[in-house]
Amino acid sequence: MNDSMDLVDVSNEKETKKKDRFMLGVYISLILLVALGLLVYFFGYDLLKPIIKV
Amino acid sequence: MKKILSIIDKVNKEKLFNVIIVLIIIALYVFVGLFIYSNFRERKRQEVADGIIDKVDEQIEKNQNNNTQVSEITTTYDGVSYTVLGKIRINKINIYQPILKENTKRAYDASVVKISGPELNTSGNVAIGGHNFMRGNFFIKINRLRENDKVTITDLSGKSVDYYVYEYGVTTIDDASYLAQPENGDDMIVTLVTCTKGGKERYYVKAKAR
Repeated sequence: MNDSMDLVDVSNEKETKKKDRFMLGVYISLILLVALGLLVYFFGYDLLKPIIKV
Repeated sequence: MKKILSIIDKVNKEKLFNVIIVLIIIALYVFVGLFIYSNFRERKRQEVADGIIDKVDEQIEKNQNNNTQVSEITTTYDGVSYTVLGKIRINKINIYQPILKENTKRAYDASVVKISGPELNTSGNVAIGGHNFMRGNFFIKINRLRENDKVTITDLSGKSVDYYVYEYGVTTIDDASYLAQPENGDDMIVTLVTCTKGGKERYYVKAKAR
């Protein structure tokens, strides 16, 4: 029993952690996109006005 | 061997999936950026048009007070000069824009432009062209105008004339017959023109003063 415990393969766990980190990155970038988008849309006009060409 | 191949296949599929997700996120950022930019551009365009209209109103007041007749004024925005002839109002489709004299891309980007014809509010056919920006309030909605809808043109003397729609349609880019002067020399006509089908055709609306 103990022997089998020692032989547990942790490569899958690493893989899962990597995947989780990637998905976390995806969620963070999506949240950032929404937050930044709303912020710029509602408060960025006056700031960006000088560089916008008609 | 088979096992190794299936592992490689799995890794590749996962990588491909990750790359696709990253690309989708980049595309979303670009899309949101473009959307915001086009919205800001539209807001600025409207701001410029409103500023020009304020100048037009000032000039009309001056003309009326001093009894002078200035038929055009020049105003500058962001380093670009615009020569203004008057303003156009179409309540049905919520248009209230200055009419510019320059037949240039910059002028078309800022407002509507007189293409041809005599001075505003005089006998003859005055053609006014405008973009039909997707989100703009220029001439995108002129296809909603129908017989007897009112188009009001105000020149710099403050004279406002109401024109009533009597004809509208689509024509080819080569056909400029809608710009022709009326057979009856006394008729006061205004023709609104915009592009349609990506610039391949022209949509025009003709209105006459009664």
